[in-house]
Amino acid sequence: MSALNAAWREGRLPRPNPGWVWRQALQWLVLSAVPMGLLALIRPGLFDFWQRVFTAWSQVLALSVSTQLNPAHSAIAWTSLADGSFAPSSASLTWSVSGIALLWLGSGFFSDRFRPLRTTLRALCLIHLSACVFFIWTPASFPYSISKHLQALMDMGYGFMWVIPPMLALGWGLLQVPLYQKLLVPCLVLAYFALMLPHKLLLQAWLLEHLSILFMPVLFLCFGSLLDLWIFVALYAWLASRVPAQAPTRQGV
Amino acid sequence: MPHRPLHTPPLRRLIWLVCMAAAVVWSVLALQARGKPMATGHGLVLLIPDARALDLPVTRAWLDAAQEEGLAVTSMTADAFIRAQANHTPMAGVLLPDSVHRQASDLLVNTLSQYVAQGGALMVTFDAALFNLQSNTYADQSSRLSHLVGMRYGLYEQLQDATMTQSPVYASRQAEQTLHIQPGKLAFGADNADEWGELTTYAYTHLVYSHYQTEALEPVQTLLRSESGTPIVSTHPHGLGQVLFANVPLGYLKTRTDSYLLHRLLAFFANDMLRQPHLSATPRAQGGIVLNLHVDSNASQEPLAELERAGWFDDGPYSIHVTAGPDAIRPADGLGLNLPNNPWMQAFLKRQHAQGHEIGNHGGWVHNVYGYQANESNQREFVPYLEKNHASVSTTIGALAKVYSAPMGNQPSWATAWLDRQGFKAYYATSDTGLGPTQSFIHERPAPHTGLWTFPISNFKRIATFDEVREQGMAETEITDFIRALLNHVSEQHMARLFYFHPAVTGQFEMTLKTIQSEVKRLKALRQFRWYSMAELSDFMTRRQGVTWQTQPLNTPGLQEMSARSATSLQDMTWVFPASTVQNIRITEGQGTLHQHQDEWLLIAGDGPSLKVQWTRLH
Repeated sequence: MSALNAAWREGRLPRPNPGWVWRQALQWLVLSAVPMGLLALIRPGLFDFWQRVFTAWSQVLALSVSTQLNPAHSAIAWTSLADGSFAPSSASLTWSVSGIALLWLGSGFFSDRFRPLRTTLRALCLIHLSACVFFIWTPASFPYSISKHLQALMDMGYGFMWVIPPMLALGWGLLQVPLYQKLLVPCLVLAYFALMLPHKLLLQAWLLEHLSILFMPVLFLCFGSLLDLWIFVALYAWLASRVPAQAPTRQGV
Repeated sequence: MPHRPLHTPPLRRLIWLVCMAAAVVWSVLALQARGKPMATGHGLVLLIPDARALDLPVTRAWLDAAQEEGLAVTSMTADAFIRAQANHTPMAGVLLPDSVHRQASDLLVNTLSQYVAQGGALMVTFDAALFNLQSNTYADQSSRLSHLVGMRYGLYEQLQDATMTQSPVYASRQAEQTLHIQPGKLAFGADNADEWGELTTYAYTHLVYSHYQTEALEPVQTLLRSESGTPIVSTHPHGLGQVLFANVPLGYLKTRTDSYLLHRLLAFFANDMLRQPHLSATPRAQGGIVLNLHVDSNASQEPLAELERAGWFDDGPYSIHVTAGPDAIRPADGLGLNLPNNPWMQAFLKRQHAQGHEIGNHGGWVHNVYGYQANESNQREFVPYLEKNHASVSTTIGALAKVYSAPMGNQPSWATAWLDRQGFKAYYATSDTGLGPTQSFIHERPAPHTGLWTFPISNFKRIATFDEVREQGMAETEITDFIRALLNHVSEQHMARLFYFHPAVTGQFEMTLKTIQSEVKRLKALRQFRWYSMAELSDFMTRRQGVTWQTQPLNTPGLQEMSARSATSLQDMTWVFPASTVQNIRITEGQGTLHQHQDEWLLIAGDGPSLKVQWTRLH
């Protein structure tokens, strides 16, 4: 920062126009505020929609977990009564550890081209192996249930939706796209998450109820908020790639 | 010179892969084997958080109570239970104790829930699994086991300081039958007119129990309730299984000399709800009474002579305990038996000893002085009282006295230690009323397993013997009816209980004594009753303590096996099987006999160290 200040003082770099800075700040504020305001406005409807999705699919999938929407439609609670959490059997643990060993060693056959995949798979293997070791030694100390897991993922996913507008205002709002697109795209991304999030939770509930909570750590760490972030980055990259390239122009100077 | 190729990866890696996989599979299987026995299944299981909990007095209280009730209960850690359930290991029933298992993970709670839903039987006690594993605070707005017990409780967020409350406990007439509550434990109002009887013990106006406030979720069968109607003991079906909920700290109470509810509910859960076999606490499962006579002053001499003339001592054996000093109420009052200088009393005791009656010590040399003044801090002053009494009684009968009763029930812990050192086998106690021979907890510490047994009195509401009948304004008929009911109860339930009286007042209770004689005669004719001495029962209980036994399902569906072993002999050990769930019962190893008695099968072991029986369990 001091080097930048020095460059400005010595005139090697032009000082930013204060008006441009304020305009950008205002634009960021507006582009953040509109989708966030919309999200706040539709929150009761969104929770009502999620509740309907959870209820409908829970019946279809015969899930033991269920949700309860509060009267103000401002929060959804995953009920813990008769939670279907169960520990892995010896056979499940054996198969899991064997699968980890096979995957770890099998990924050694990957060519260098698949090195990123190998790294990802081995990271998953390590997380799942730690879960296996935990459940072999001390399953009663496992502090989470399926309902708590889903509650945490839902809360984090919903929280993440509130972060999307400011991030897109910063990353997407700066791009040379029409204003309506600057406003519409964050709303569409939010709509995508509003649709994806409950279904992701239902899928995880189904997997956990059928595979045991042995898979909870890997699902939580790799397919929870991290997955949301990956999806957001992928969506942003896809959207940015569709913006036509333009000759760079120096603005605000 | 030829060079070996630098890379031979595929084959080598494959070999590595196979070796690694084999090692992993072996290690997982070896680790999981810690959860054995998986294929055979478990009997009744006491669920504790971890192995460290075995050292806690409340855990010991639960296991001791189960052992004394003749139940095959083993402890199991929460980890082992979760592993066993994950592997679908059969389990006859699960006991979730109070105090030692307050904290539980959601996974354990869910595993319990699934166990019951799939047909398991669970006994939930008081504060079990109420708290978080990490923070040791209430885990939820209500207990996570609320749906299992059929009502919400542990409502701390809602009720704060009123989460728990205190009240006497009441049982209905029906619950008295269902729980096989001992006669005298319930007080159904002045004229026995009330529908709900208050649970009582000796000398307390009210027995007040702490319990959680509850809110109904579903209908439950209330067996015991509080003054305000809060269920204290209830049953509730959940899925295919059953849950017994005890809303009082059963184990905690046992470590503080109130064992009745723990013992009774354990027996009810195992015998009536699960229809499990149990090892009877009497030889050949023959019910009986220890009749304990406290001869504490020379006022007893003439009544004893009268009883002897009336042939009372032709039956028995009775347990006659004597305060031998020259004084009774205060020093130098001359009201004592003065046994060393009382030829009639010496001759009487010798006669009764020779006839098979048990002669023991009643304290204390000077009854009231010892009874009122001995305390935890004056051992040096009062041990000589015990020693003089012991020497006098033992010299008189020509053998060491082995049984003891404390004057006024005053039993400082050093007195118990003294009895233990002297090789005594039993002592009467006013604590833990309603139990048979037990090993009482003293100041929350378990008694040493040395062969010294506590014989609690059988209370009749708030009294325990004849002397107190008039004091309480009762009629003789009331205690007569009580004793008649007690005699029938012990004979039906194959148990032994102690009843005591002072011979000095027998002249006022002739009708009661006659009733005892006639009722005993009737029951003896049916071979359903006998008198026991304290030493005989104590020896039996000590030998019974050395018996290890378990039931387990065999490979054929419904086929069960019970195996029992003792380091000495199983002679007269008797297992009681509910006939309604037993078919084709047969002895497959060892000596014994099988009798069907009403709705039970009695397996009486012969002289041998081991015994096996098989049967088909009917559901």
